[in-house]
Amino acid sequence: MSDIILKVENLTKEFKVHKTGGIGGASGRSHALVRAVSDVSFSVTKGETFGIVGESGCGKSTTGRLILRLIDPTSGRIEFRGADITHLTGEALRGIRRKIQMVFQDPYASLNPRMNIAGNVGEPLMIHKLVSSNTERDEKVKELLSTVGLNPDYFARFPFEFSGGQRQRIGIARALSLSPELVIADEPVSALDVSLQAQIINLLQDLKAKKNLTYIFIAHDLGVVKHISDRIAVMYLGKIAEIAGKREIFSQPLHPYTQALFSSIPIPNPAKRRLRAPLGGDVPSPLAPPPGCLFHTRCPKAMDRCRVEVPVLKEVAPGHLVACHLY
Amino acid sequence: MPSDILLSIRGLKTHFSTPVGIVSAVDGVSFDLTRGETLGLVGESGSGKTVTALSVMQLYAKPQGRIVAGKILFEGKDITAMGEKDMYNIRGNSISMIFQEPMTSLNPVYTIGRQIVEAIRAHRAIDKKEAWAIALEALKQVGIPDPERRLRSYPHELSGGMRQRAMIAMAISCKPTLLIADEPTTALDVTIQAQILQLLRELKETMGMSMLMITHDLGVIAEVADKVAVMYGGRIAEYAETASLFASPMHPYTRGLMDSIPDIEKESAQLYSIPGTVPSLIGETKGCRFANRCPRALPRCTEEAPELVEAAPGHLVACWNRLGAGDEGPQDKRSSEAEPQSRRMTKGEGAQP
Repeated sequence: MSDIILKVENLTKEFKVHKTGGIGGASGRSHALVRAVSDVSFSVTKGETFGIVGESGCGKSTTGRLILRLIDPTSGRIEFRGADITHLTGEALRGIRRKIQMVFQDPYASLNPRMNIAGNVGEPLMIHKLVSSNTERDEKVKELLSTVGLNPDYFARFPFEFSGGQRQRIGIARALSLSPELVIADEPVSALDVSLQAQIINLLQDLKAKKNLTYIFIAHDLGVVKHISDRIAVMYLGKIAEIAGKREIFSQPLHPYTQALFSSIPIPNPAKRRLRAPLGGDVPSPLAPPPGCLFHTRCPKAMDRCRVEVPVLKEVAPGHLVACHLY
Repeated sequence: MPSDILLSIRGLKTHFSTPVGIVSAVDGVSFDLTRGETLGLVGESGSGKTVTALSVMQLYAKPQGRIVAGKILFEGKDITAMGEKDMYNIRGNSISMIFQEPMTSLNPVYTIGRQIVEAIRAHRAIDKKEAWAIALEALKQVGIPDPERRLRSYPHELSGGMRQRAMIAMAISCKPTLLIADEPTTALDVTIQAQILQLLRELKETMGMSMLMITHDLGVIAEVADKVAVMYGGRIAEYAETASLFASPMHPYTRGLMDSIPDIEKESAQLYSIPGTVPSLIGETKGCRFANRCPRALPRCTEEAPELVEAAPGHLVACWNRLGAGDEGPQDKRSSEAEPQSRRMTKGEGAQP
């Protein structure tokens, strides 16, 4: 486990928002802080797929954006291959971005509609001056298109000419154009139909093996995350509730939230029909998070201690970390 | 026809005229919904499941959209032959519908209470106070905490799950006999989805409603549906009791769909993926619409469209080469080529030039 490619320590991101949660207007002057990511620590080993799951607003996408330095953390530290990248700027930051790339959720929004495919996929190559002419760029783009299973002759076409699944392949080609080491995939299949989902997941797995990639795979679909990941982190309201190997976490989920989350998944097998929802209530507002453990308001096992004391993430079995007072 | 059939759709064709040609979004759909049952309508985007539901509600886009053939019998009366006035009495009254995105289906500038009262008073000659009391009762029934206050709330003040509960409250306020739920949990998180599915199941029991549940999620179908109709390319591919469909799917599309889902309970190195993309529904099509993606296609499949036939008791399938009990699934065959013939147009997406 010595080959750590990414290490995140006590990463925290606070956003300033209007107190009403509304968009400006009368109460526009009073601000509140939302802690989208709160004291998150984990490390990713070279060659693995690290899954991050959680429901909307749990901070999984913000975590991805922080790692890529698309937004700056409020506090904490990000280490890539042993070097601190938390405060890099300019040329040094650009150098790191060659090594860390992202695949986005919405293939309709993440491609420039006014650029052809060669422009979209080849833009990173031009920015990083890895090609010297458009002809050279087009050649490289053709290669990338066939890598992701598209016809290379499509390079002069425009995004609107492609279906959702094809667009996602184009997004993947762009992420791979700089030969990154770490790819952050943020909900890469959730906008796609089931049959296309499977195609893209298989493609991501093939590419990982072929190009020695490391993935951080962010998703809310537990089935997909389980399928593709080696280890999984579960987040709730900006914090990590549990981290473990995928077999371990699915066979022995320890955190009551992980347990509830897993048993909420509808299983495509009518013989296993469940009759009760495992969790009542809603996720509390991140504007007014509860004291103590963030999950205590919905937790079936909450104790007095949970209402006052924040549980820390600790290792309870080799490689199995959980933030819960029960353990 | 036995009277325990609440909704019977026969040979329904709903077509739309568009600048690029006639789109046969629903093209010969037939199924029955028995009283007190939940029928799941499952399919991917563009399979025609929502247009089928909107045809029942007579809410599809007009005048581009037109029911060109078929009947929709609700309590024995043909909806397609009804005038707008008769339909007005049914819609929101004996048939209600809830939609995928509760934020866009509620009016943002009116309170929840006012919207529910409006729906009730559209169908019943009662004053506002009485309607308000019914609305309050409906909010209690769907498990909204502090219902008096919530009636005075605006949609933006509610969470996604609460908004969907409010939509359901509105839908059941006139005590419908049929509730159509179009992807009611797709926009919700998984723990909230479980709550809403449980609520719908309970309401169906206590109110004696029938439900038409539209979803792309086979997991949701397995949780709530008594029977399932699988749609593909505007047609029914397979129709069966839920247990029978999951235990022995007969249509290669159904089987492919099931194998495409990562199984939370098992581990597999590679997922089966159905090659290609959904077909264009523009213009005349010959043969089975799944033929070009089907691992079991025969020469006949591209020539002649298969009829929906009863292959086992209560299990209907439209396929010339259906899967039998001993047939292997298509998992072993996996396409490495991506969406090879993409010179097609799918609904809402771009066409190849």
